[in-house]
Amino acid sequence: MIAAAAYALPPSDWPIQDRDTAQWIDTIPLYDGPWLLSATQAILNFRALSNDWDGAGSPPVAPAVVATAIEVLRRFGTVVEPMSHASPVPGGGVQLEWYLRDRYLEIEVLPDGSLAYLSEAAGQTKEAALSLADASTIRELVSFLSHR
Amino acid sequence: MARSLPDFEDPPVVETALGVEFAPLEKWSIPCFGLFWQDIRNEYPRCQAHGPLGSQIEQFDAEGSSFAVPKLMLTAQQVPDIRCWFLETSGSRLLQIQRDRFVHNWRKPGSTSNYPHYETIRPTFEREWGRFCDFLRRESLGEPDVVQCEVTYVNHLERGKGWDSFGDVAKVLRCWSGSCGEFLPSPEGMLLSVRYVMPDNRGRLHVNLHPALRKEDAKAILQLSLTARGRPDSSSTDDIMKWLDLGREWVVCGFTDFTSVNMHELWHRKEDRR
Repeated sequence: MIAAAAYALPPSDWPIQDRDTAQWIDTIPLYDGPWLLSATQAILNFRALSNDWDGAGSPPVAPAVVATAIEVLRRFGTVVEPMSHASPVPGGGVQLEWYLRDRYLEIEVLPDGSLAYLSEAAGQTKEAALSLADASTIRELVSFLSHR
Repeated sequence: MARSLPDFEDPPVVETALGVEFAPLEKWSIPCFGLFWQDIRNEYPRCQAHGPLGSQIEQFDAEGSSFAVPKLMLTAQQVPDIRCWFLETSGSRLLQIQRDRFVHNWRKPGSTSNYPHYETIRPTFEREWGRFCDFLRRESLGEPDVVQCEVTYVNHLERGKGWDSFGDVAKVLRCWSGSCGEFLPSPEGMLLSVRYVMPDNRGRLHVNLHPALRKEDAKAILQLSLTARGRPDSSSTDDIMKWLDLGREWVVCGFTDFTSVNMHELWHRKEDRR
């Protein structure tokens, strides 16, 4: 079993906007700060998982899933320094979790690259699909994490 | 006389973009994207809407200072601006169009594909630009008043191929010694942005290096992009192509000067050619 890794996440580049470049090939810049580099490296390590890494027949985590998980990391930051846990999940996905005293958010990158989230606060739970192109929901979730 | 240009058997270029920026077409409106798409849909069957690119005109002061002063521009818009991507069937070519921009991109479709070279991409750009101008004429949308040309080459230097950590960047770049004395350790990260002015203020070459993760395969890379921008002598296609040739020369020679001989060997540099 892989131990979950924890990181303190300082503010990141919150604005969700279309990139202002004529470049076509999609890359994720990695110069935001040490936290991102260490978190990224931990998620990159999931690529080394082999078949049946969980003893239950799970396939390895696909590169596209790893890349999406890292993009999620870049989109979410918070000024209240929650701890984030990242772990592979059975089936070949990756789960990112943010814990706060009174709220919780988890985002799962599913094996097909799609996203789902679960948020919980004051006994209320919300679960839904998520798209990184959906700027309004991402802002809402960032606000949720930062108590605004 | 044209100078000979460096060439490589296995260059790290993964994308090129040739483009022009022109004064905003006053009569351009959102339905024009659809009208133009009708003309090209056989070759470009997919279309995506994106936010518009901002204007990035190179500025030079009277004494030819090498610094472009960013200008704050406020414009009142009655309709939202968009940029349309028209994607070609093979997945290796893209047209980007907005009311003041035309860009043709080529990207490497797979790890085994070879870079087709500028000699192949140039006539494609010229043909597509001609087709766009024909469309503007036919629909009475005006002649583009071209204010700038742009050539961009994006190179991906994969980790493990010539470098493993940021301490190895001196092995990649000719201009980076890597030596910082005795106190500083190996860098944890780096960002490099360098600009060069072309003679007679014909334009400027921007060189940028930053670490990145390629989404397609989650590989760690150094992305080295070179962009040449400058104003052509006129809006004629001949003058546009002449400037693009100049920009390409600066990008290719700049790339070769900027990178190390070690990397040139890794990319199998060929005898210089015309």
